[in-house]
Amino acid sequence: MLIVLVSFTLSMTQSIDGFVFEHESERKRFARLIEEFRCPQCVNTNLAGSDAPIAQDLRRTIFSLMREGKSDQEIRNYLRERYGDFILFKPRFTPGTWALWGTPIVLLLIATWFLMGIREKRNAITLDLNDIQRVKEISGIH
Amino acid sequence: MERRLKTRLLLVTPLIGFGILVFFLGIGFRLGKHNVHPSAMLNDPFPEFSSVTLLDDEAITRQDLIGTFRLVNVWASWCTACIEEHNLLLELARSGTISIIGINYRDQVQDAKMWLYERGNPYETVVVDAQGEICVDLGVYGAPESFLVDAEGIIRAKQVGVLTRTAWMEEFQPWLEVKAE
Repeated sequence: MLIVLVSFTLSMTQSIDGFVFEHESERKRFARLIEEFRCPQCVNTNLAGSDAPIAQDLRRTIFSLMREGKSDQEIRNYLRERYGDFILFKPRFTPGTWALWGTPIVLLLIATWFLMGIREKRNAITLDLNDIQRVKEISGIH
Repeated sequence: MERRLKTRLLLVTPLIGFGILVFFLGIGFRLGKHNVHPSAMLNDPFPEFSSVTLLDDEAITRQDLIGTFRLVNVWASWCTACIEEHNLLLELARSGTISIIGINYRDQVQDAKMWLYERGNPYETVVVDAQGEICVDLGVYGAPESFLVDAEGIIRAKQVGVLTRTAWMEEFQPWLEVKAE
């Protein structure tokens, strides 16, 4: 029973979806890549989590591109040329997406500036209280 | 006085935020369905392929499509939406408007033949793509999908999903008129 279990988990680490890998690193790379792309048919699922025929085809495509010795970036480009930016969960930085990438940074800057303003005001108030304290001390009134 | 103004401004902030949100969502809704699938592959050459034909089991490659305008239509016998566009395809083929090439996507040969026999065959020839390899190269989302390929083998128009009469008239037909001039 134990042997069966162990061999089962062993075989689990070596193949995904019928693909057999030579190294653990290859399996990990495949798993990472299929997490990275959107399934074209099902909108908000990645290739790893979809049973759609097209997702199966794309998983097989990624596997064979890996076997051909393509780099991650070459695989990304291959899919993007055919399916458009839509397939990438992480959008590229292009003239069309600068607002997407830039807005959070701009918002952060505005928020920082705003917080700095509040802190300055607070400091000013403490100073005021200190002054009053000192005035009280000097004047001897408690 | 200045303080009251500030409190009021603070109270209005969520409203302004909501306004901005509504503004952008409004734009999003107006974009409609056209932007759902960006037009990747448009004006790109039709990819190389080599496969067999469905009916005669003869070798066929990209080279066999070149030379005239073609409507390349991805379909399958399991694809229920394909039935919706079938009448339009038959009409286009019978009127001699355009030569239609079918790509039989992830299908059983017998089922595909039966489907054509029962519903009529609008295709000049049908390319078998049992593993979906041609379709991945074409950037196909699923069946049905249609491509207009010009005489040089460049993709000129594309329809993801059912080829409607409107889509044909607006996106595909104008290219044929350019050719005729």
